[in-house]
Amino acid sequence: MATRPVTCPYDTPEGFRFYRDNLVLDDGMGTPKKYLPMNDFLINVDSFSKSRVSLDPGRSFLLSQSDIGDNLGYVSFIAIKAKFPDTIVESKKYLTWVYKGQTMNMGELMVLSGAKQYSTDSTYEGWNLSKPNDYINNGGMIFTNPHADFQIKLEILIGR
Amino acid sequence: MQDLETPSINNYDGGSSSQFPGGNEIYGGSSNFPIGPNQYPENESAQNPLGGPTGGFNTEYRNIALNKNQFKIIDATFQRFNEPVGVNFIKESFDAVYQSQVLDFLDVADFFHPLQEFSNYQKQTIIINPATSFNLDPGSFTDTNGEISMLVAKAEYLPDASDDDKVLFWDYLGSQRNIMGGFMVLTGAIKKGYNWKGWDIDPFSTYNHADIPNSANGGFIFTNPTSMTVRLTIITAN
Repeated sequence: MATRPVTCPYDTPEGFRFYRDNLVLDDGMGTPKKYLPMNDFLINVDSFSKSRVSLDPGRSFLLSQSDIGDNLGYVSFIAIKAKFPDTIVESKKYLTWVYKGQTMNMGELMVLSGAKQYSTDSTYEGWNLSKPNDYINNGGMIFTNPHADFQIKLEILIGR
Repeated sequence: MQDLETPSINNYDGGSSSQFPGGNEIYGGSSNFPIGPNQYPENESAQNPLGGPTGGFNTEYRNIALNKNQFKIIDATFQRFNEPVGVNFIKESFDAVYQSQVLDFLDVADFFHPLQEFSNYQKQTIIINPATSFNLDPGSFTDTNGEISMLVAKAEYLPDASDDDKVLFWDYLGSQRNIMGGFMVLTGAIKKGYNWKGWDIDPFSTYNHADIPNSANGGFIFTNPTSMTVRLTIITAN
């Protein structure tokens, strides 16, 4: 009589991911534990855009959506997903983005939100995606692929 | 029937009102069809409705869909009139929705932040009072020198908060003020030790945190600039 072959569970690392309207901590064993419900997520937007960008090694990309933003170029929702080659190790899965002169990092996902606010110093706080110019260089985001050996693909969803 | 006690009142119940005094006979009525589909049953061609008397009209056929899915749904009952227009999170994607229609989406089902042998994670829930600030707890991310590779923040505002009241400020490295509405995700590289390709949330310059915290060294400061309390949930991991 044949015996049932012994099968070992494949080695699934524990980690955070989105699963059925929740951010869960999945250990690959049964139903993952819910950490953050997402089913009540709603951001009112009047218009939106969806775009895809491929960043070659060492290249930069200016994210500027003047037509989507309000009259000053501000948007209220930015979601960006980065797709790295499957063979890349976790320590190299990053890119940089510059906003208002400050350089920050990004891994596989970034979500920003918030409608612009009028501040006390007669300026606005928010996510300004107007095209920068010689006189007002404070709009848009610059994404850079700092790696020399692989391409990064970006998916971008913007709402105002 | 006609009201016999009040003959001047006509009762149009299908009976012939002309049989009663005071009734009004309607002339010109006919039980025939205005356009008879079957006036000549002995004639085979007359049994075809198009073969009988007809008014003049032209029929044009236009191809508006190649299959059922291409038909545009007409919401004639307004039952979805109050459904939201905006960006929703449905299953594992951010969806740009217009009432019941998903116009486009950003799929994040393949997003995965693995926990390594050096990883830690922390979940904090804070009530931030109006016009106050909160320093994000640096946790115990010692293996990465206080650097994290994932920060997920969700703000829950009071139901009567307007869109202008749904905002928080977050300061990073003490150099820039940014805003957050209802949700934020920041990520970076995952690596043991420090490579500063993530987010430094440790405002202390010493390992035992004996000195005074300084946001210029690192850390996040969340500020509630509104007049309403906000509940903020933050998940951090390295």
